[in-house]
Amino acid sequence: MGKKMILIVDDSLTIRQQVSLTLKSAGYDVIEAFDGQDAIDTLKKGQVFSMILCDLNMPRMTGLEFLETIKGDAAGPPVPVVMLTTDGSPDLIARAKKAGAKGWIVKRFQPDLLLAAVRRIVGEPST
Amino acid sequence: MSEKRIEDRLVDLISQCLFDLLNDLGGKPQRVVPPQPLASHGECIAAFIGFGNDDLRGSLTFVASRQVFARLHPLPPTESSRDLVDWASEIANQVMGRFRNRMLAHHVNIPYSVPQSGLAEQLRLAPSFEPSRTPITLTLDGKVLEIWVDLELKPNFHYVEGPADNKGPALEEGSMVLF
Repeated sequence: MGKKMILIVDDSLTIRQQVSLTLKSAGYDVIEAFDGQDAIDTLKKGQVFSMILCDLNMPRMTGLEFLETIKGDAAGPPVPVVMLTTDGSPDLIARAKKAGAKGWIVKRFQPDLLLAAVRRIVGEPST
Repeated sequence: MSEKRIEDRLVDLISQCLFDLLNDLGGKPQRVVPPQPLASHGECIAAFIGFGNDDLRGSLTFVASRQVFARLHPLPPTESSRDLVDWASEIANQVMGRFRNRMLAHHVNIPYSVPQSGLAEQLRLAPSFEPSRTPITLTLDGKVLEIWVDLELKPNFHYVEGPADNKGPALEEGSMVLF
């Protein structure tokens, strides 16, 4: 059985490591990208992801710009996206929801909360 | 008793956001009054984040020794400069995010920059005659974390009295919503 792959997009190395450790210890595979543009480039390589966890405030391309870019003219993004950010602004949450995001988590980073969201959206780690 | 100036109330709010975050990170910060400049002349880390809208502009600058950021680091102990400099940026980002969330309770929306950070020797924040600049000094386990709050409000700045706990429409830290 293959493991489900999750893309982590965050410009903070520390946050990527925290999220990565949490997901790997729960049995998921992960790939990291350091901003929205890097995430776009990663998606173009053809890897299939079960979910994307994405920060908001990043250089080059923000999380919302990334979300809106991969959504394009479709009804929603091709992969479930959950935003993981320090920002809890209702306007931004509404914009993400409109662009097809599946959820919004406000840091501080809590492993249990993150895993609950991941399990709700992609299920158990093995396909 | 005279009312506090709005600028001072915003600095208090930033200070509260900082305390809340550092406590969440297990830092047990203590405020040093009056503020004292960082005594260490060794290797330091500085992080910076700017913010602003049409009626307000400002920045937060954090300076502390490597040991302070290592003490707050959430992963197993690290001495890597890369890790600590990155973590200093994330602390600046999270304090700013909390401040922005609290300000929504006062009908003020503050976009902010991507944080920047770096490593330097002999780094000191010089005393400033700028009235817009307020230093805050904290200690964590006896080591100093210095924060400079730069804040300028334009005459049009509008601040609505909100709830005493500054909790407004923003989704709370450590919570989530699934659609």
